[in-house]
Amino acid sequence: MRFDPSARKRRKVSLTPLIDVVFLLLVFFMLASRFDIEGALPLVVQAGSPQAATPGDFLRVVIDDEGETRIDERIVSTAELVTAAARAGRDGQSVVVAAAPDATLQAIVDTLEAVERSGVSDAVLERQGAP
Amino acid sequence: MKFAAQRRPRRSENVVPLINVVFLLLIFFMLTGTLRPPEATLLELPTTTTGDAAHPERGVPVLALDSLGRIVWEDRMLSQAEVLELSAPQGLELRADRDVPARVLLPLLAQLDEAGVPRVELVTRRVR
Repeated sequence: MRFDPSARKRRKVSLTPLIDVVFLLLVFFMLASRFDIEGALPLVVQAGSPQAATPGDFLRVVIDDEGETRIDERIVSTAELVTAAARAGRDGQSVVVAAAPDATLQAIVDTLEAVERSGVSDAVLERQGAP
Repeated sequence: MKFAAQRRPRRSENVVPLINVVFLLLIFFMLTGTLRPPEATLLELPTTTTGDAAHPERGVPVLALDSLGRIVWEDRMLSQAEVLELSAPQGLELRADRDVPARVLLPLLAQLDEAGVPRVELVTRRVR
């Protein structure tokens, strides 16, 4: 009967250090990971002086101080904005977004997103903004 | 002699299921989360529902703008005048607070345009 007593001892590897390390890694990734998804939206500001452009070859969308979207002084809903921007895109007009001084970035992003959804991908921000 | 035999199996508690679960959790957090540097300033990104989930490109410098109008560029606070001097030949990534008013944002964008920054990508947080 050949019996090696050391074979028994070698099987008992201590798992405790391994668990320690794995726990540390787990805590690290739990604390350091972020789960929100980020997107990117290009912000293009109008080039040069806006006076050069004649009205009629672009659709001017105004965001007022309350964050409402207006086309020709009339408050429009998101759906109306999408339709108007899509029509402008078909007519070869560009879309210019003019933001009032107190309009928040979120309002601007919402408007740009609606314009983008209509298929117009080259909306620009008016340099001076709405008065 | 009998109780000595009983005590032995109880001492070696089985930790293998525990390790299995911990490993699964570890792999879950490693795969689902992304490691990103923390924001330079306290920011709440604007939200979007559609748009491409194109995660912002790596290597593009980040310009942060918080709701108080403070501008942070590569861990350094910038004044309005210094914005004209920054160089970003590949464009930059703008991380701005959702409450930044247009009266702060539009002049900054105009300045970046004058500084010769070819492309400004606004980073948004996507919600469903």
